[in-house]
Order: sequence, then C-alpha cells, then structure tokens
Amino acid sequence: MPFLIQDGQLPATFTAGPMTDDDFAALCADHPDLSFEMTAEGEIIIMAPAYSFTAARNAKICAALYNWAEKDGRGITFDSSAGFVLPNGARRSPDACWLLTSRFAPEDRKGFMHLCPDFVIELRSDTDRLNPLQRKLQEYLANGAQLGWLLDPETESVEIYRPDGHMERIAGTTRVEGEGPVAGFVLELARVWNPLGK
Amino acid sequence: MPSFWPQALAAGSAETETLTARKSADGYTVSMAFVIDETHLPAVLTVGPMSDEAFAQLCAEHPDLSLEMSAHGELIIMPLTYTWTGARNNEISAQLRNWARQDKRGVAFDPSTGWLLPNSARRSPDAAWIFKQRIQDLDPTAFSRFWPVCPSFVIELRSQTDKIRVLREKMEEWLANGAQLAWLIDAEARTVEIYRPGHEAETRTGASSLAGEGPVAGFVLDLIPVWDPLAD
Repeated sequence: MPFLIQDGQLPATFTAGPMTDDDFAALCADHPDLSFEMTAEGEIIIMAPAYSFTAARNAKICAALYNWAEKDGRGITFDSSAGFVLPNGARRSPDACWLLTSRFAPEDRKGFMHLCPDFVIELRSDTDRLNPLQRKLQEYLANGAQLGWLLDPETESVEIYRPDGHMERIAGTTRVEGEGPVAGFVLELARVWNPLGK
Repeated sequence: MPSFWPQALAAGSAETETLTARKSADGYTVSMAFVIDETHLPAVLTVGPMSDEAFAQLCAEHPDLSLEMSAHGELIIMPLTYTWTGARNNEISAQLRNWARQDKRGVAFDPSTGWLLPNSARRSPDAAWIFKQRIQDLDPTAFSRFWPVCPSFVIELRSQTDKIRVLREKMEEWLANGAQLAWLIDAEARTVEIYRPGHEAETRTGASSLAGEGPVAGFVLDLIPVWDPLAD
C-alpha cells in the first residue's frame, strides 16, 4: 500500500503520531533538501526548497530585520531555517522572526526552542495558498507572538496580525512600520517586492 | 532512523532506493522522493489539475486506497476504512437505498462513488442521493465518467482517522456546491450535525433516529444500528 510522493507534488502532508524533538530533527537531517513543519494535530508538512526569487526576497527581509535588531540590541533575529516548538505542540519555521534575548533559557542553546517568537514574518511564495498562511499567522498570535506580518509580493500587500485578534490589510504599500515588540523597525518593501531593484 | 518511520522509508528499501538515488553531477544524492505507508494516512499531495482519465488511472493503481481531490488541486489519500466503520457505513447506505427505491424520486450511491463538483473538486461521500431529474439533465457523454454534478443529499460518517475540522470544511463545500442537505455522523460521539443551505449547522446528540427533510423528506435514518452494528 505504499504511496510515492515526488518532489513535484510538494507541499505534501502526512499523518504522524507524536514525535520527540530528536525524532523530528532526525527526519529533517535525513532529507536535507526538504523542509518540514508539524501541525498541532500531528500532520507533517513536507516543503520543497523555495524558488530562487522567493529566497532572494526572504534574504532582504532577514537582512533588514537583522540590521535593525543589531542596533536595537534587545533581541535576536532568526532566518527561515530555525525551528520552534509552539505551546500548542506545532513545530514551525517562520520565514523570519525576532525574539527578546531575555526569553532565552540556558538549555535553549541546544535543540529546538519551546516557545513562540515575539515577532514573526511569513513571505508568500508562488506556490503558497493564502488560506493556510493566514491560519499560520493566526496560530503564531494564538501561541504568544506579539506581532505578525504576512507579506504577499503578488499583490504587494501586507497583512498585520495583532494580539487582539484583528488583522489589518494594507495593499499596494512600499513600507511597513514595526510596532509593539519591534517598534522602530521599518521594512522597505520595494526591495522585497523587487529584489533586483536598488 | 526514528522509530516512527515506516519501513519503506528506511535506507536500502528497494523502492525508495531506485527513486531517490538520482545522482547529481557532483555525486550528491538527491533525495526528494518519499514513500509513505498506510500508517501515515491521510496524506495530502499538491498535484495540480488532472484529467478524469489520469485521476481514474491513479485510483486504479491504488485499489486499497481512497482518493479525493480538492478544488485547489490537492490529492487527498485516505486509508482503508476500519472494519467497524464499514459496518456502520453499510447500514447507512442500505437504509438510504431502501428508502430511495420506495420513494422513486432519486437514486442512492455507495461510498465508492466519485463526483466532480462545480468547484472542480473530486469527492466521494460516504452516502449520497440525487434526484433522477438531475441525472437525466446530464450531458449523455458524461454518463460513463465522473458525473459533473453535486448530489442533492450527502452523508459523511466520521472514521477514527478523520479530523473533525477537515470534515466540517467538507460539509460546507457540499452546500456551497449545491447539496440541499448534508449530515455529518460521528458514531463514537453519537452525534449528528445537520447542514442546511444558509444556516448554521445544527448538532444533535444521542438521537435514536433522524428524519430527512428538503430533498429527502420522508427518509428516516434509524441510528440505533449505526451507533451499534451489533444491536438486534
């Protein structure tokens, strides 16, 4: 009864039982070309590598967040390879995120951090459906994030998710300003919408 | 190899080996192909649009699995129904079929039936009923294929591997595509959710029977043998 999943059929999800952090890390290590997440309901999501242009966009985002965070000094930035175990049990890897340094525990230096970052950015790729991404942002906020941004290059729009449960959508914008945990951070979106620009 | 991992995925498994051992120029092994086994179902793959023939071919290649396709081009792979669920489902199918034969206005279908919905999803409800007139209105060339029409009445029976959230989305999809009544039966919880167009779902717990309405007014589903197939 085995069923083959080919790389052209990703993203794909399958059903797994509860896994330890070590099991999950071993799964990721066995397939270095793929990225994995796990939902709170125990589904494993297999994702193909990002298309090159999307990755260039993501690099711009991570660099901007990193540069701001270094000056700001209160927190630390993570790129899309970082895995977090959320309070609801989901294992997620946001495209970019930021966390107050004070939330680090000594044991967090190894393994997956068991917490939700304070600020999360997801970048929609050509193959991402909007609905699952919106649910993901809602999940981050429900699990303790103080601010979430969903960036959609196709419509050049930003969805801002706040802890009060409201989402604000700004279409056709070229910048978005941080607030709450990342007040002071400004992301110039022209460089994200078009990474080839200056 | 983590203990949860299916044997088919272990390094050295013949099928996995041939499919993943695609060496790139620098000798690095590209391993993007996966083989999942039945303990890891349901699974969802992104496949994009498929013709009826390609979909039917895929189903034929996997006779032990039940396949559906969402309106977004996702292939949903479901495991064989657990035995107990099969007895319950057969009870539902038989009661609906017996009523439909007497009522004469429509035809009942079993859970192996595939339907092509207006939103382009290919679905296979656990039981379905449709007015004869809607069948007669179909283009005759579609007759020997998946019918491009939504059943008038649909029943979904929750199995142990079904997530309630996923089933509820499916029920909303039935209504959005033209079903006039849909029931979601959870035998373990002895609960029925009744979906009507334009209304919030109504939940009933512990009922011993359920009366049809709208398209299937007159049908009464005896729930006792659905709750317990061993009941006399």
